[in-house]
Amino acid sequence: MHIPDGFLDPKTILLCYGISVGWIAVALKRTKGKLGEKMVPLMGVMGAFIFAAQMFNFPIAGGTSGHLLGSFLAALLLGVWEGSTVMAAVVIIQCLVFQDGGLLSLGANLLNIAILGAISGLWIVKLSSLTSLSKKMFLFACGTGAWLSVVVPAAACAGELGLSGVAPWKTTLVAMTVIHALIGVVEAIITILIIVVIDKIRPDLLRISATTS
Amino acid sequence: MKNRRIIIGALIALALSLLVSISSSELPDGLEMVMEKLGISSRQQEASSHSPNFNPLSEYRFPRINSPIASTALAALTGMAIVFGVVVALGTLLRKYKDAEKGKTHKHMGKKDKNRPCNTPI
Repeated sequence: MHIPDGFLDPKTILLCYGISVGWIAVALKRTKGKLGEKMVPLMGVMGAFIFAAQMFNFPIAGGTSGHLLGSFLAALLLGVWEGSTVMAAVVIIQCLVFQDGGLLSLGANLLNIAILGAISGLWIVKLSSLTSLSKKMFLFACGTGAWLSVVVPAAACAGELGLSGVAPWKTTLVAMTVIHALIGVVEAIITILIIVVIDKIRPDLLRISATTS
Repeated sequence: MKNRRIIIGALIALALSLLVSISSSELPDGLEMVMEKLGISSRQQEASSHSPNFNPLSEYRFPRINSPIASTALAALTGMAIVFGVVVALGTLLRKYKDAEKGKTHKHMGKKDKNRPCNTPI
């Protein structure tokens, strides 16, 4: 869902850049000096994994494909600020090195994928962790969070296109939300599987996120 | 122990890059499909024809490699290496401020706040 150049108008470009640059500045300030020794390599591995995962497109329905976003997983394992910093690095490198997403629309792509993707699903897990949940319910909350972390950025994407006046926002919103509701289901399943595996081999990683974020 | 971890990490990266290059779908993604349906996807070609192509690995293809699988796999490996390098460098930099605040290294003292905006990776 990386928006290429040519779709956003100057007002939307400036607005999105403003929000994204502001958010990243706050994220860097919040993480500055607070990273544990183990966090740095973990963030690097997470970023590299998400980069590869985003390259993997799976066919979904009606001649469309989707790819894993990973923003929710990054925010869950690393924390919101660290997670969105890693996602921002991925999105910026995709734009500058791989021409995935335009340079002018980079602000919007950061807003959608690195920021909204990281915050839109995590609150469910936070909320559910207040009550002592069974493991099954925790995984269900993670799946719901992962689903939201795809659908909310997709809706935001439609909103940005609508704000730019390139397409009627209602039609775009419905089309984007419907197709990403399907892609989000795959995101949720893969995210749950990854969390189950991490819980088996490195349960400490799940505990890090519970205490530091 | 550390060497073993690095080797395992590199093997996983290699496996991921092969998985991506062999079986990734070429179909348009959700946004591209919506843009096609709305009849606005031609805007992309118009915009990209105006701007110079400075991206070395555009379309996730490694240049001058004829085999599409090898080309995509190399692009994936390069991307993973760049992301890992950039994130670890940024993380190390962010960690260094901790020492500066404790007064262990005086290098960063004083110009700490001035430095902060430069870290914004844009």
